Amino acid sequence: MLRFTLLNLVLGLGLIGCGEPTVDEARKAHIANVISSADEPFLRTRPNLVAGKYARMAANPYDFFRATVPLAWHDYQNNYFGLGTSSFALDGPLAPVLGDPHPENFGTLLGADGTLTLEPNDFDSADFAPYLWDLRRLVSGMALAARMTNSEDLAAQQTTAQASRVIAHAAAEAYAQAILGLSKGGERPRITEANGDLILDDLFSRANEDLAERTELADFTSLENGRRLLRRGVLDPLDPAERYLDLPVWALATLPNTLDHYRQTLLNPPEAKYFDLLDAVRVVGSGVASWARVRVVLLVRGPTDDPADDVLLELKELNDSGLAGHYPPFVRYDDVAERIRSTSRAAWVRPDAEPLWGTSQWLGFPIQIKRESDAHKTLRIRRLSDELGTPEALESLARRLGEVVARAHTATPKNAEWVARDIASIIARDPAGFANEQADVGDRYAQRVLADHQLFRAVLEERGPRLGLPLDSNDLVAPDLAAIYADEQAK
Amino acid sequence: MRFLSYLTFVLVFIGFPAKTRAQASDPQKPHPQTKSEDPPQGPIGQAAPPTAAGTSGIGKVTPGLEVFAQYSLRRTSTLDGQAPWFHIFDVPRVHASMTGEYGSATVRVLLEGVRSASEGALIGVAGDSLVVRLREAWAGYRYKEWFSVAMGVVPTLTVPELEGTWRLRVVGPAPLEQTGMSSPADLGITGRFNFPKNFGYIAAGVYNGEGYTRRELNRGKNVEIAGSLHPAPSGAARPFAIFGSYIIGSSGTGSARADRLTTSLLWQGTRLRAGAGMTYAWGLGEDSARQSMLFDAFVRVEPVDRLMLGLRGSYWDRRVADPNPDTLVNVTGSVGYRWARPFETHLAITKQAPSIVAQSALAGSDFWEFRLVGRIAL
Repeated sequence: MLRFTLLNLVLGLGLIGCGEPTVDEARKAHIANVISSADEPFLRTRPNLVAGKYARMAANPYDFFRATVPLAWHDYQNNYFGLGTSSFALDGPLAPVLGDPHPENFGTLLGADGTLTLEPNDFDSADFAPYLWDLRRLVSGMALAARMTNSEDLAAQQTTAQASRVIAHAAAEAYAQAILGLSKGGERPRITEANGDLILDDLFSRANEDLAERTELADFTSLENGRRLLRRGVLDPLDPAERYLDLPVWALATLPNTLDHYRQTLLNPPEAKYFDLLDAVRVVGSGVASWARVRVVLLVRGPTDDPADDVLLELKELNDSGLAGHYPPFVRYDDVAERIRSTSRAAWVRPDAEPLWGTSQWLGFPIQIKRESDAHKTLRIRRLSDELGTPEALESLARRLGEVVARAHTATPKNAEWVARDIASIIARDPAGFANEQADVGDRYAQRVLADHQLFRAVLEERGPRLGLPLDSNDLVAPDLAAIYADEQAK
Repeated sequence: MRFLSYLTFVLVFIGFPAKTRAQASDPQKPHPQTKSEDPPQGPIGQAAPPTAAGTSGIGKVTPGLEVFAQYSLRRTSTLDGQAPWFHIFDVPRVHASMTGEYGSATVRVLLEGVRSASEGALIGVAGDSLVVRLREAWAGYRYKEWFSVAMGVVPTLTVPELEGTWRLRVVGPAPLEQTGMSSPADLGITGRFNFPKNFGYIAAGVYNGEGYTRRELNRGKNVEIAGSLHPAPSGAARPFAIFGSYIIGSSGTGSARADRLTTSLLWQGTRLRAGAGMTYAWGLGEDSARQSMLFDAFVRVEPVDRLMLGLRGSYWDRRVADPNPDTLVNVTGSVGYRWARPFETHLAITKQAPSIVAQSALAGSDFWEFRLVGRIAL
């Protein structure tokens, strides 16, 4: 009663401010603020690259979802749309989360034993954070995917969209079952084949095919006088935004040192000659969330001097996860590179699920380097049509991914083995209620993402590609750094 | 409409200057005159110094220092029976100031030391070094005892008034600052008009609005109006004050509304200092539509010379529209002893208790914290 009276009193006084914005206008300003705040360093120093990212986000709701972890995290922490509320929350301990386990952050990886496995393949946001964050990111991602399938068959799309909650529920239920089993000492399953899952069958088939043929060498390189070099320009006419550009000579000269340090971070590093640098190109217009980051494709010697076994690597700039800072000591890793190495190797069933995934520094940037291979196939929502876009196919995928996320939460970086037991103990109180709660929240948030996507498009149109961030000539970077950013070329 | 409100406040109050350090100066007092390296007409036959700072040979310059050195131990409640703990040495405040006065003019620079990366970030400056930044940098002018004005990176009006009443910043910041509702300093201009016979003051400020730690992100400027009324400026009730302020603000590139109404009853005595009040926020955390409410009460007692006791409690309703209470309660108690005038130590205990909703969204928000803090101010 007191709360209500005070509320009315101050609401009355609040009329001084006048001009109450509509709900949509307020949310639009909210979206612009959170996204521009998260991207501010990039908006100031590489505005054209960020403009490319925003254009991609505007074109597709799923790409918008992929690139808005900061917005979702803000919604979670401030409990917008019920995203942060749960009857199954743990104030702690924090879990080793993947950070952004939406469906397009899983794919095949080529392990040290030559086997392809389904694993999480993006650790940009991985850190210690509430386990529910991870699960809700997966569940809402699956519910959104359900709405995005069969883009050319609206009837089929509607059918799958109507099953979005069922699909979301499947992910949550599988997560709960898996974590309950794993907490009792169950084995962490390694997914090396589809086992009847249509979407995974398609993924593994394509990966195995390209693994055998090493199609990446044909796609990205050319052989001239017995020497292999990377191609330049637009390599995929269907994606003209992605371009391969020359690196400045001085930057090229620093890469061997970077590779040498990187090699030392690998679990079982090949001999040093394996990483003799043959060529390197700057890549712009790749990815979504990390569109504006520095990305370089490297061509290295590989096991022998034979150009047929040359190896492609991808170098990518790293940043903070954005999810840490809950309670002391607030950070759990020594640096960003250690965060990436620890979280990835702990989340995978085998730490050498991708034996060439390591870290280093280049020109002062913390970076990761991993194998660039056509055998590394990532799940893509745009491929989910026809038999891959049915409610049953998505439900099956949701179950598999729910298991993989549960598996990641039982990982033990920093000796956090008690985490799984604590998560299991709170879910065990009411597993059915748990799955229902996550499905409701995830499905509702997926709907919110669609609405937010429209608002983001409107914001972009109204405020332009800087989202209203004022121009400041002090933000201009030095020419050498500008050459690495390749911001001008991104126009 | 909001623009008109801004304009009105700016036009009405821009001439009302802020309380500045100039009040401490005495324009009648002769200032020492020393030889100038940079006379007003310029040095004959040579270039002027690259900066005129310290070359005029006029005025009085006073340095100042304040340092808090702290050991803290926090136990965070998680599951039943689990309470991970962490302890740390820290310097929550390192301030170094330089204040120059000449007649009615004052200039002040205040540097503060901070961690280069925010909590949770692994990327900072040179690792995560302690770095120095500007907290205040302003020039001010005082006209007799009535008006003062300051411009630059200036202290705002509300947070400094509440913290200045509390006078135990060493034990903890004002909840208004801690919750991110208001900043203690910003880039802008403040003006202050003092009522005669110590009846109080009314002041206004116009700022960028993002606080002193961020660059301006939108064309909107925050306007802050604040006033303190001492209804009985002489006699036993002289310490009693009624304080109120209103901020018409915007934040972020989206120009989200960030208005604040603060009201407090204050007791600004020597042995007893206390306050109780509330702040209502329209727009918070980048969101125009979010409304939030904060209650704050504090008391600082010095029952015998040198012994200081403090108690502060706050209740923050993070989103008043939420049907399920999304609240944080924070209580801090402290005992301090002033060993000598510039040096004091405090033992403080803080308990924060979130509601179920807040605890769900903010991992680690339920904790006990014990701190031993030393303060030295020169």
